[in-house]
Amino acid sequence: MTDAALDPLIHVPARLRIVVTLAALPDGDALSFPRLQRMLDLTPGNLITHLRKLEDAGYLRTDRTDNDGASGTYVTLTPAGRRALDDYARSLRALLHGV
Amino acid sequence: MNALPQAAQPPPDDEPQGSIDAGAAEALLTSTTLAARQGFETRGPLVLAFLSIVVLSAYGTLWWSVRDQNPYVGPSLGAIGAAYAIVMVSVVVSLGAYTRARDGVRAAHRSQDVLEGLALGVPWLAVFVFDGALRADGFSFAIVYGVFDAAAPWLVVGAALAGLGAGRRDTARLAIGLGLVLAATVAAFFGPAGSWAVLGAAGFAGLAAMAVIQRIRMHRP
Repeated sequence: MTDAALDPLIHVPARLRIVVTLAALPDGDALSFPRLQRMLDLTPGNLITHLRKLEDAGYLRTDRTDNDGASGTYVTLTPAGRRALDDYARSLRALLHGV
Repeated sequence: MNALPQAAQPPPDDEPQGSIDAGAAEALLTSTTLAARQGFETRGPLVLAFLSIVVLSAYGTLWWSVRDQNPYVGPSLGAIGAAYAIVMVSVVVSLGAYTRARDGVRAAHRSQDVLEGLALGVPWLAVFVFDGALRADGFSFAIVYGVFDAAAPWLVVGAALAGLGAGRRDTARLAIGLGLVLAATVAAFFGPAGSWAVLGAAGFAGLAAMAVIQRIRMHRP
């Protein structure tokens, strides 16, 4: 097995960190853009670019909340995104350890 | 729905495909998983270790005030006040840790959290209302302000927690709930004064063990 077996969308450091961070939340929970940015220490422009690529692939969704005193953009990992991360981690282990 | 603002000047993909080898990817996957887990954890090992001291202190204070009573009349007002003060400090510390961990997180099932809070909180409060009925029916101080007040909160909250755990196939929650029920049942055999001591020791040991387990879990990929 080679690197080519790894999902190219996730196999980029910033996007890998985004997906892994969102996957640490309970299923369906959303994370605000500012908190995600703080946790990953990325610039807003860079984070937006990577989020858009992941959203276009259906790995996450974003939505705006303007009520409940918590206005802003929230990001949620979709079931497809969670499956893609699981597959990526499995392929990575197979590549490195042959399991 | 795409809710992302347009970046003023979209940066180039500064990390093109193939810029990271598999080994580095695995290391990044592990370190990010651990960091995220720690960042979102509402009951980290330090909080659990602190709560273990709180339980030991609160129940120890109550036991200290009743240990030589004959006949048993229940904990002194001073001991009850001190125990509540200790509990209030623990509530503030726990809420602080929870708020930090959940900052910026929007729960998908917030209503479920509220319902579960009711399932645990109402039985706990009912225990203390039940006290009044027991006293009115002529039960002794040893029963009402001893065995019952010490063990009953653990019994009802443990039963509710075990039920919630079983319903969600959450074995950790089920085990904690059954542990509370077991500790309360055993403590009742130690009499009105002894039950405070047994539950204080059981609470300390249980929470300290959870702190150790949590620490191991949070540092394991």
